[in-house]
Amino acid sequence: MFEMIEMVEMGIFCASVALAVVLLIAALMQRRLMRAAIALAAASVMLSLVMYQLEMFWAAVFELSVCAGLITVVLISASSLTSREEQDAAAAEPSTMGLVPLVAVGMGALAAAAVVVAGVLPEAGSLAVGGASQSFRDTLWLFRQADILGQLIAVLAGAFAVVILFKEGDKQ
Amino acid sequence: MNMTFDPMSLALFAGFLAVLSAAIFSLLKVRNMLGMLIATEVMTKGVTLLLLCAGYINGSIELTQTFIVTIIVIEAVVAVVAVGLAVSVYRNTGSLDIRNLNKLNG
Repeated sequence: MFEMIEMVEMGIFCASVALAVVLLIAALMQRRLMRAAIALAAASVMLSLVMYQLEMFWAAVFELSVCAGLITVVLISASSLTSREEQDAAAAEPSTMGLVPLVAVGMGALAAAAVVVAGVLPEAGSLAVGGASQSFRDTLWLFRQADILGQLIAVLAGAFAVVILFKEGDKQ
Repeated sequence: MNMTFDPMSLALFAGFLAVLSAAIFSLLKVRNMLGMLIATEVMTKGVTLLLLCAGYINGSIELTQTFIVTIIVIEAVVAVVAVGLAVSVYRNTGSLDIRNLNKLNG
């Protein structure tokens, strides 16, 4: 019974990953920015589901709120600030974009062959570090302080960049 | 020959390589600035898949979460700055095509 539940959970997990990959590739193939942004948001939702299944709850919440929320809003705003004709004019050739799923399937099959035949990935848990595990809060605030500083600097740099880039120029 | 593998780590690793290669190919072919931003975002998602795979194999869930949160913050900043740049270029040139950005050619 427990083995069956485990198999079902594993199937749901693999299906979530596959759906996320399909949505990401669909985002790459869209000519219209609006559709690409929606596909990217759906892929972020699926990724957050994958994180939730791996018990990474904080990362799942961040992925859902920032990637599926904030970035989608930013992309849709950019889509509304530019004309549809210009988006179509600058888009790549449809025949070229048709090669994107072929590249993805080819490289995915290569990775699967490398894992199954050559065993390039170690088994889950084989590299686990012993000792008491820290909570997310302790790990972030006590051991990864440089990351927090880097995030602050990145956010400030982004804010300054937005102020400068969106500033209206002097009309002659 | 080692034939033991975990389907979950296999799915994450194969997904990472598929997404990353497709995004790099798209980045090389697309001429739209906002399309390039989409490709960059997709590449970042691929890296997130690799981090998930590493965290699953390693078993250090909390450390992986901190890395993923950091990469999400950087992803958001990159998206906002790139959109600002694209809109600024669009206002000045009336085009999103990177082939029109040739005024700095010597």
